[in-house]
Amino acid sequence: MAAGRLYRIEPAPSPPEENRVPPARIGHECERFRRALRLVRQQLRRIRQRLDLGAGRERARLIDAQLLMLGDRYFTAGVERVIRTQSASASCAVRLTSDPILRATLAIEDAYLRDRSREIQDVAQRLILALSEKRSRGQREIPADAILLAEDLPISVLAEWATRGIRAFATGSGGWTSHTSILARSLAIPALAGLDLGHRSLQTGAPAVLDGDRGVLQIHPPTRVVLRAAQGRARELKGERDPSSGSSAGCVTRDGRAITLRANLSAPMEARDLRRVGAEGIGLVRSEYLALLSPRRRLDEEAQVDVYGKLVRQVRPFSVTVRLYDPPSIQRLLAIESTACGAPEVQPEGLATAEPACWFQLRVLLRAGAFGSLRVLVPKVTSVKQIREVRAALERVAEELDGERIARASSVKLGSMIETIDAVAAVGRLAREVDFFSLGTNDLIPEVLGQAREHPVAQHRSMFHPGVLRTISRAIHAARRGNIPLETCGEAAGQVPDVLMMVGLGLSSLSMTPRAIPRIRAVLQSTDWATARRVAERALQCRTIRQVEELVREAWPDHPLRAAPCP
Amino acid sequence: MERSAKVASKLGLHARASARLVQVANAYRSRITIRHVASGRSVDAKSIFGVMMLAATAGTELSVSASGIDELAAAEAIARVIEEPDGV
Repeated sequence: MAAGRLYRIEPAPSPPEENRVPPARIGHECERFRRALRLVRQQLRRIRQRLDLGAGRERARLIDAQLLMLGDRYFTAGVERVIRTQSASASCAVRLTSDPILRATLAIEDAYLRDRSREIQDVAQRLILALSEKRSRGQREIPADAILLAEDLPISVLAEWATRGIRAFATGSGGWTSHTSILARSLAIPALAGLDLGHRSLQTGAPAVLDGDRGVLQIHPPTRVVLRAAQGRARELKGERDPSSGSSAGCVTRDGRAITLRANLSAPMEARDLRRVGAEGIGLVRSEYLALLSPRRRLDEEAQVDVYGKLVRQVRPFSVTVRLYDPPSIQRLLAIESTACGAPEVQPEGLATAEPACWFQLRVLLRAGAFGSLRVLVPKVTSVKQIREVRAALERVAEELDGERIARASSVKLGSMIETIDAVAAVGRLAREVDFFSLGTNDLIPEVLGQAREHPVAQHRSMFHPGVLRTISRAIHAARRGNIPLETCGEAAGQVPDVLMMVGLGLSSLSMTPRAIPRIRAVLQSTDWATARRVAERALQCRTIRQVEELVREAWPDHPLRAAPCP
Repeated sequence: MERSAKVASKLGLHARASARLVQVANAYRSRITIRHVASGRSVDAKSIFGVMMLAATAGTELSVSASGIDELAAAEAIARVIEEPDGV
C-alpha cells in the first residue's frame, strides 16, 4: 500500500517521418546524426563485451565489423553530405546512404558474402532507431512521491525507476503474472494491472493511495487512508508485516501433510529474507536476479560464481535451483542492461546469443555447485531431446572445467519445467531423463486456455478453470507414476485460495516470492489436507469456472476469491 | 608500393576478415587501396564498406597499393591479411 501523487507517462508520440528539413535545421540534423553514432557505438560495445565473456568470440568479431562501419568515414561523410546537399533529415539520409550499399551487397554472387548485408542493415536500423528515440527522451524526471500510471511498463523501465524510489505503479495492460508484476512484488512496490487509463480522474498530480494487495486505487483519499497507507508501507518495508508467523521452518497442514516451502528469487534484496521467512531452499532463481544485482555492468564468470556460490552456502543444507536462460529471458536481460545504461531499448542479437550464454551459465552453475547443492532447471521444455542436449552440454562443461583444474559440483540435479502442453503430454517420458519437475503455472495456464500471458485478466481466476485443473492433475499423476518429484514455482503457489487447490491436487512442494511464505505457511497450517483433496476431486468433475469457484467459496469462506485482476 | 595477393580464406573476405583488414589498414598512415584485378575496381582499404563491396571470394586476385611514409610495411601487412588462411 502506498500514498503519493499520480504521474502519467504518456506513450511518446512517434514523430512523423520527416524526409526534408528546413535549411536552418541542417546543422542540427548533422549533430543529431553524430549523437546517434555515439549512442549506437556504445550499444554495440556493450553487446561485444558480453559476447567476449562466453563462447561468442566469433560474433564479437562481427560486432567489430559493425563498429568499423560506424566509423567508416565514407559512410559518415556520405550521410552528412546527403543532409547538407539534399536538406534531408538525419534518418532519411542514413537510409539514402545505406540503401545503395545494401543493394550492392545483395547483388554479390557469393551467398556467404551476400549474407553480410544483415550486419549493414542492422547498423542502419540501429541508427534510425536511435534517431527516432532521441526526441521522446527527457521525460525521465519524475517526482519522488510518484504513483506511475502507464499503459505499459516494460520490465527494463521498471528496473530503472525502481532504483529511484517510485512509490507504486499501475498499468493498463499486463496481468499479475506478467514479468513486470512479478518483479514489482519482488521489489515490494505496490502495483496494479489492467486499469482503465482513460478515466478522467486519473490526472497527473492527483493525490492517491494504491493498495496492491486488495487491487484498489483510490483518488483524492481521505487523510486517515493516507496515514494508514504510510504506516502500512513503513511496516512492509521493515518486513514486519506478519508478526504472528515467526520464522518456524517447515510446514505441516492441520491433519499432518508436510509441505515444503521454497523461495523464488527475482531481486537481490529478497535473499536477505530467506532465513527470516523459513524458506527451505530456493525453488527458482529468475534470470533478472543477476541483472538487478549489477545493472550497469555484466558480471564476469568469477563474480557470478561468487554470487551463486554465496546463495548456495547461505541455504545449506537446502538447495538452490537456477533456471537456464531461454531466448526471451535473455532479451529481458539485455533490455534491463541497455536501459540502465541510458540507451534506448533494443532487441539485439536474437537467438544467436542463446548458445554461448547458455554455455557460460552452465560453467558458472557447475562451479557454484561445488559449494553445496545446486539444481539446474530447463525452461520451456517440449521434448525429451532438449533435456538430453542440456545433459550432454553439462558433461562437456564438466570436462572443460576438469581440464582447467577448476573445482566444480560432482553432480547437479537436472529438472524440467512443465510449462507447456507438450511437456504435460511428455511427463512420462521426461520422467526417465530428469531428477525433478517444476510446474510453471504462469505459462501453462494461459497456454491451456489460449490466452496471452501478459493479458490483464490472464489466469487471475483461471487457475480454477476445470481444464487447467485437469491438466495440472494429469501432470501430477504422470510424475508420480514416473517416481519423480513435482514441485511448482508459479505465482499461484503464493496466492490464497489458489494454493489450497494446488495442495488438494497433490502438490507438496511450493516455491513462491519470499514475502508470501509466512502467510502461506499460516494458511496451510490451519487447513486440512483432506478437505483440500476433496474440493480438488470434486473440482476435477466440474464443467465451468463458476462451479469450481462455488466449491472453493463453500470450503474456505475465510479465503475470498480476489475480485479484481491485480498484481 | 604495389603488391599482389590472393584471397586464402575459403569463405572469402567476409565481414570478420574485412574488419581485420580495415583495422590493420588504419594502423598505417599511408593511403592504401585494394584493386580487384579481374574487374579493375579499386577501393580504399580503410573503409569497411569498400572492402566488403569488393566481394572477394576465395582465390580472388587482388592488388594492394600503398603510398605514404610507411607504404612498404602497409602493403605488406595488408597482403598478409588477405593471404591469411582460415582459423587465424
